[in-house]
Amino acid sequence: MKARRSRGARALPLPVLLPVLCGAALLGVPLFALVARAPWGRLATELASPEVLTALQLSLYCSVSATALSTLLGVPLAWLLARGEFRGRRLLRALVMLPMILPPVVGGVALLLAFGRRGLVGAWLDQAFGIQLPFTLAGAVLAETFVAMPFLVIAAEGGFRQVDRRLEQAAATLGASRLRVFARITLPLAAPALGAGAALCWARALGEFGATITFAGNLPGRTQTLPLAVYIALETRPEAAFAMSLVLLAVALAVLVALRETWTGR
Amino acid sequence: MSLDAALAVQLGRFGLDVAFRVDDGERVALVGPNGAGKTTVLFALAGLIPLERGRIELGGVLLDDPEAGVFVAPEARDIGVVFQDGRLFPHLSALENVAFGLRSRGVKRAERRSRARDWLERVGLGALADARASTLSGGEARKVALARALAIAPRALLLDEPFASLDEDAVIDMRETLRRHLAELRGPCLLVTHDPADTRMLGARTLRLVDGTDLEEMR
Repeated sequence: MKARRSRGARALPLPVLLPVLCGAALLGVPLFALVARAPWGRLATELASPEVLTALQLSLYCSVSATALSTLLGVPLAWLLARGEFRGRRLLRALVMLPMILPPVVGGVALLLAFGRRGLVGAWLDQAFGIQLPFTLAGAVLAETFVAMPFLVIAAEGGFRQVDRRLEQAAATLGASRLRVFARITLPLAAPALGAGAALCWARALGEFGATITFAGNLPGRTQTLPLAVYIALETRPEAAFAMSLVLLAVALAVLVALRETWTGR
Repeated sequence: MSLDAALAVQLGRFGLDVAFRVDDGERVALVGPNGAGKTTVLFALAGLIPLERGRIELGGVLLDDPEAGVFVAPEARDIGVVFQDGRLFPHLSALENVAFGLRSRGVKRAERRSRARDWLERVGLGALADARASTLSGGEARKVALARALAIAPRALLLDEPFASLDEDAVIDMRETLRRHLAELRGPCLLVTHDPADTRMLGARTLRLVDGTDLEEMR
């Protein structure tokens, strides 16, 4: 192999090289297979089928809504975690991070117990307002938010922490209220981190499977998002499943590239 | 409008406990070794560090008095502060930095921009109005910071080491700029520096602070 090596670089010893190659292959080969075996010739036809288009539309709607909801609720939460000094802050952070580690299906079960028709809050919502969340579009959004919001909160908290508090002090001496300091100084300076968090959150919401199918079900045209459609199509129309998988892979790659540019572009 | 201050603050092992007065239109330079508490004095006056004991009164208005339960927030004090490192907002242009304080005072956008441009020209930086603050040199940033503090027509002006970490030409330039603007300034002005030459240049009365408690007049 005549690869260019920087001066002084030495070959990796075999006990390191072997697991490195195996590890890379383990991650890379399935993705390569997906690309290699995708029905490239019939890609457009497969993706244009009504079921796929519906699932795609639903997925976009739900993931964008979940990202918006996460931003609305998550940014103040992140700010509080970064700047607040109060008892129970660590507990709050643990609570926020838990859905990242929790099996999504457990999240779905928990959502059912909370917002299901007989759930803690759900029963009241149903009686008082006639609102039913499980097995609805709103339920799918809620499930995706539950799973994806932590990604935004964690990224945003890091962003707020990096903002120089001395600039906020300077703004205060110029007469800016706390709200204005936040809107004109803190928020813009944390914007790259917020953007990265929103992108991660959206990608996670787009791919959400376990919590969504548990809480919102798998109703074609109502709650069947792209990942659910892939899973169902795998048995009946594998080529459609491959095509949809390819779309999800492309989105994930695009987010990764976009984030790389945000993170290194500064 | 005079400034009356009796400041007592405990920050970890460091304790500040001093009292002084700055008359209307008077320039006072606060000198002393590093760690003597000079910056703490400014921050207490600006409301960035609340007093534990003592009181601050500016032009007859009580700003901080723990005993009386009075604490006016920094954004409501109308005290201009030029921070040691300028502390310009890096994501805004020089003009937007200077205009920042006017917005909180309800000045309309067009008026804000024209007044800010005016101030930039007065410190000799009219050409850099649209430059991002993060691209300015140390000397330029310091002058924009001065313009930003003066633009709000503060009732008192505080300057923290306005010449620190500037190169020689920038120091001369900044001294000249300061001297011109301090001459026009009304209200009390307190300047922290460690170089007595600065204070003579600006014709200021000099107070020397040592160890947070020992404040004496120098002649």
